[in-house]
Amino acid sequence: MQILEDSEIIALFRQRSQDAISAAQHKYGALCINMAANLTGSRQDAEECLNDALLRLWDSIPPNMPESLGGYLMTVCRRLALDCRKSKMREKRGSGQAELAFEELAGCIASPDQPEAQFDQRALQSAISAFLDQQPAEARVMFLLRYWSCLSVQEVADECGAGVSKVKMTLLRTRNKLKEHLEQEGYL
Amino acid sequence: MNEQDFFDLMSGMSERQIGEAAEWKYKHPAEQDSSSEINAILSQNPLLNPLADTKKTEPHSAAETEAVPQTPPVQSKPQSRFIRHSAVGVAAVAAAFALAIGGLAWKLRSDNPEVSDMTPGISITSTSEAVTSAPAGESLSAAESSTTAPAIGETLPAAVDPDAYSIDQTVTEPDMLTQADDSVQAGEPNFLGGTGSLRTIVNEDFYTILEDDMFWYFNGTMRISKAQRDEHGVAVSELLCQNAGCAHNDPETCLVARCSNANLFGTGDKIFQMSQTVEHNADQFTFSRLFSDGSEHDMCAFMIDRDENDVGSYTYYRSAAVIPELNAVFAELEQCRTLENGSTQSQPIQAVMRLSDNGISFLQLELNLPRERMFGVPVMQSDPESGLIWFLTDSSIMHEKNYGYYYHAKIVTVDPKTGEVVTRLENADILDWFVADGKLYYLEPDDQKLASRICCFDPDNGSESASGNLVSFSCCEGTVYGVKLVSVGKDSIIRFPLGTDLSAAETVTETNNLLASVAEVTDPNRILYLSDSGVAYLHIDGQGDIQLP
Repeated sequence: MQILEDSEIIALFRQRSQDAISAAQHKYGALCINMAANLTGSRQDAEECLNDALLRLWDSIPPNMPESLGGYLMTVCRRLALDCRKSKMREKRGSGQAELAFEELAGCIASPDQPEAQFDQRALQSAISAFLDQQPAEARVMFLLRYWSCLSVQEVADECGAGVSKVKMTLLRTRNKLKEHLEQEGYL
Repeated sequence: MNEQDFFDLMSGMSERQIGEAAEWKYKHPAEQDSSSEINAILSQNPLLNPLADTKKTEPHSAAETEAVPQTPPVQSKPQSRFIRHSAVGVAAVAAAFALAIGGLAWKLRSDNPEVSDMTPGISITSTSEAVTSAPAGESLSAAESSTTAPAIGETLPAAVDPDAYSIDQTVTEPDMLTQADDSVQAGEPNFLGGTGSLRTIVNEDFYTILEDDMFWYFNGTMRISKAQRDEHGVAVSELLCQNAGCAHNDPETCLVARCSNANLFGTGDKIFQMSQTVEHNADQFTFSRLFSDGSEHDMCAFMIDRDENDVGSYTYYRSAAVIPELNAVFAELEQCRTLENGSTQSQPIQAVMRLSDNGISFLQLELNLPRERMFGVPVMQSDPESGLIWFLTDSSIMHEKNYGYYYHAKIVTVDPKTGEVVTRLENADILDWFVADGKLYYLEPDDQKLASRICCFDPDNGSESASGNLVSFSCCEGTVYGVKLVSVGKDSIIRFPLGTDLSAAETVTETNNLLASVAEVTDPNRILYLSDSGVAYLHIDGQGDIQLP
């Protein structure tokens, strides 16, 4: 199956063609599944999240017109996966990529002497987002895939066509830069 | 920090960054494509089957799966254009039929006032985002003589660098925007085959709907008669070009080819067109006004500066909105450069182009406009009182259970004469907004209860707010019309004098539609109303009764 441009897939949604679902799934399904599976700890739940997300896309386009179909689908899928995760709090969480991602990054964005709760969370979000904008595109993408999507390092490497060691090193450098940036900005 | 805080924190990443991550491997062909794996997984899932086209989504055999290329196929530009145009054409046809139903119902109801329910199944998007509704030809003296409102908050200097862009100023016609008369009068034929002047009624990225006295025209590809019916009572539709054997690819001889490539857009009473986005054979990229007799008047063109190897730059219009009351055009452009090593760079640009007796002034702005735009919520508002353009910028789309989606955004004003950008509001949560009498009115979700606040920001006197439970609103001639959320699936349309005091609000009518919103009010007795059931004009007589057309 040919991989269509986002604009072409959106056009299919707008003309209510059922091919839109399969085209979006074909292009972004694997990424969404990996993300949702790491958040929910269950491949089956991840599939349900993706299916729900695709159906929501079907319901919302039109009238919505996302400029980045992938970003839109992943955002919806992530929200569903987090909801699913909440509902399964008492269950053991699979491979634990979300916990690992959290533990890795927590050292950069939280200080025991100065709890981040003192800061406006939106300001901190903006600071991180602005920091990422200053980074090389590949490092930014790896960071997002690891800490926003909670993909494993291997999955990030697969997505980026890079080696695991390169991903690890890039993430380490980015985390260190982020910590330095947040210290300069007074968040740490 | 706990885990939930971590997730919440990361949820603040911008849509642009997330989109970049999602599309990364498709933008870099060297990476592997693992989507065949997920196809194999999901093709076995029955949940999607009802929506899937069995001819195209049946599970791949092993051979078929292996045949999926490991890198996404790189389409040639002509092929991409063909697909895009085809998709646009099909989308236009779909929109055409959808709107035709609405149009027919509208017409029928006009003829039969006893019919009073809304038309189901219509799905078109709001025109309010890119269309200004001020009367054409309005005097500019007020805007010219007014002073810029005092700056509150951060002031961002505009980057004015006209030399960075090759603008052909010789083609501009300063009076073009204020010229209200069309070349075709009522009853006279226009170039699309109908009679009377052409008007834009829907103006969106993927399609444009025009109308004249006889037809609705959809993306310049087909038309539907307002009066003719076939034997089944269905409106007669036909392709614009009826030439036998025409391949619809020559703009010189075929209306379909000409209009579908023109990117038509307009302000209601005037039609504009800009050149197709990527046409390497074009001499220039032009923004021009199109008259109903088919004549064009160039307004602003960007010249190509590339050598025979395509090394160099060019700029094209992505969208534009004409602001007649300010004698200006707001344009979103894309500047593309091809370097000698073959790599390409692309940079989005926003600019205000203002026409004056001295020609055209081009002011580049530094606006972070939202990439993802919500249904029915404007990104730009003009304000003749202050002569400023208000923009919703630096936004992310948030979600809250009771309200659905809303913007977390910054509101800035732009002076079209100087390009000065002034931040008015930051970190505002906005369900809907408009500008009237130099003041910003917006709806803010209330976190504590099923209600919203109506807020007024006066650049001179600060802010005030009051409780309310509106989900959308619009203003016309000193009266605010809003959709009031009563309960899920039950709304009422109310109106009250401009301000934040709802004590004198009166109910116009009650509805039971989901996602209802007041999209636009250009006449005190006519509301453009959107909902999950479709779009309709609501007519209100002096007593507050309502007639659904």
